[in-house]
Amino acid sequence: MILGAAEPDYVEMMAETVTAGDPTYTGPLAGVSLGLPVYHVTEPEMKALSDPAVYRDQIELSELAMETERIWERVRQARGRTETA
Amino acid sequence: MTLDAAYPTIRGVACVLVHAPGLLRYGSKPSREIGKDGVLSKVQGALRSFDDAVAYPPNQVFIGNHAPEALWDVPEPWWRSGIAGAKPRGPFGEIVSEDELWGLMRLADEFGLVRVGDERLARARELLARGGLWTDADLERVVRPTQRPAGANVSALERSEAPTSGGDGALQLYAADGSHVGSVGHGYPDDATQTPDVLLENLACKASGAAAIRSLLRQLALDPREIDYVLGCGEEAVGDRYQRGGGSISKAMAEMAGCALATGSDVKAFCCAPVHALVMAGALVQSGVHKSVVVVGGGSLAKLGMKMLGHLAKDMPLLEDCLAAVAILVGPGGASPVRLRLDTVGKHTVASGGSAGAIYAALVTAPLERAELRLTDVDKYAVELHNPEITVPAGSGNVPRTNYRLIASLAARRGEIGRDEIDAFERRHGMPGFVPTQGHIPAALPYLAHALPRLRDGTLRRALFIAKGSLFLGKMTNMADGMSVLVDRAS
Repeated sequence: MILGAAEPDYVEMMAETVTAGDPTYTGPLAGVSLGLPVYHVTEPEMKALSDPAVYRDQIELSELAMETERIWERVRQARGRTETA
Repeated sequence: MTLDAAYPTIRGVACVLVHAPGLLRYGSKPSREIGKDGVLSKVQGALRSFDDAVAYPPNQVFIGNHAPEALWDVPEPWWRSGIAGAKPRGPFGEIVSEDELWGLMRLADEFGLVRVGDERLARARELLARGGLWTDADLERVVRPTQRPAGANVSALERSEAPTSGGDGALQLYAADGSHVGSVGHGYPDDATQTPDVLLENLACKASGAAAIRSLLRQLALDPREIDYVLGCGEEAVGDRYQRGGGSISKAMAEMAGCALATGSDVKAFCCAPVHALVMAGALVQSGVHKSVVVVGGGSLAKLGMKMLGHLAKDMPLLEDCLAAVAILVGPGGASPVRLRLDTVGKHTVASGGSAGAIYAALVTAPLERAELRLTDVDKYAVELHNPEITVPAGSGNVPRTNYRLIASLAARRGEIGRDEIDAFERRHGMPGFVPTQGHIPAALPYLAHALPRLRDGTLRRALFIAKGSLFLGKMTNMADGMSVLVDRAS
């Protein structure tokens, strides 16, 4: 699952939704643990897979606007829980 | 200061909230949820009192008793930081109570669709008279006996005082305390576009929008007959089975507000319709077609309680309990020092592309370059000003903050600010979101009310108003839309 949201809190919530289940209990994934590996589109692993020209055109400005370190930390935490599960 | 005639001007802006906790259950999300076990009682238990809605800091900002920037210093959660002694009236407009709302719904209703008990209407009349927004003739109409014109579903009307929905589907109305208020009947029988829930949405939009026009007229001490044209920018579909979005709710609002010499039409572009409408209003004035054009957005009943599941899960009150409406008067050059810069309009075209970079290039960089301005020359950016306290708990993020970080990043990429200044851009050139999640209403324009006096007194030089619309929701295209316009002070 590749996420693109801009806010660390939101990213964390989405990451948790597709791994452990919807933490807000507001959607169909409440209590459903999909355990998907989850990445953010700006993470180095994902960026390495992207066409640099497309990335520059479509994502670069958004990446600049994001607090990427905090976003990556939250996604890595969620991913870590999946990998150890 | 010279008042030039080259640009149309902004003469006034009114912002009105209508506290509608009893109607919250008929918002789209609540109406889909309250049939589930125990949800209705949870909703009823989480409704706010009128006093709490009035004291709520973002609502006080909306009607102009505080600047948006004052919210930076209000401790979170804002709903626990109610302002002591807060008044339901401010320089931009008022917060209408639910008790008054029932009277406005009757006033908006020309077809005997809304039935409300006599005692409530007498009370509504008394409160509306105290507010001073409506004429004696209006107040008489609040308490007039319900007519039964041709086309109304008589059986629904006759059942209207029943405590639950009947087989004929008349929709029962309840107050915040759960007491029965009355009902809304069908329009044409078997017309799916005129079911009671649809008519209730449309009447709520009409009533709140007309209240905003009235508030605007009072603010400017203007004769309603001076208004030539009204452009509606709300998202309700007013029509019948053969023309579902036929319109024009704007003319209906003009009638209710007493603008006897006006006609009007509706501008539709999801949440960016208000900025489209503002630009069109300016063009109508500047071309000489009309002299005084009102842009009005009525409240959206469908969006009441939209994020309620997130709020209930966090034991918060249901903050989406107000219909919000805005009305703006656009006049000719020289009528005000605050100019609508029709030469500095940004538009997201079919070919623009959908990435954030492409959208902001179209809405920010392109118009400012035409005006030979840097991004940092704009004192304030008004974006989608959704109240983050409503959206964050429901997982929708802080919408204005995301917008400000994107604009800041654009400025950083152009070398106008350093990358280390992106965080500070929001405070310098932006503001906290303070507008209820009423779709088109948070789309930039409520800040125009705050900008207007500051542009007049020179503490603000220019502001850019940016709105985006989720056209893709309508399933006719995958595109979004966007529109922006600069407002500045004549120099």
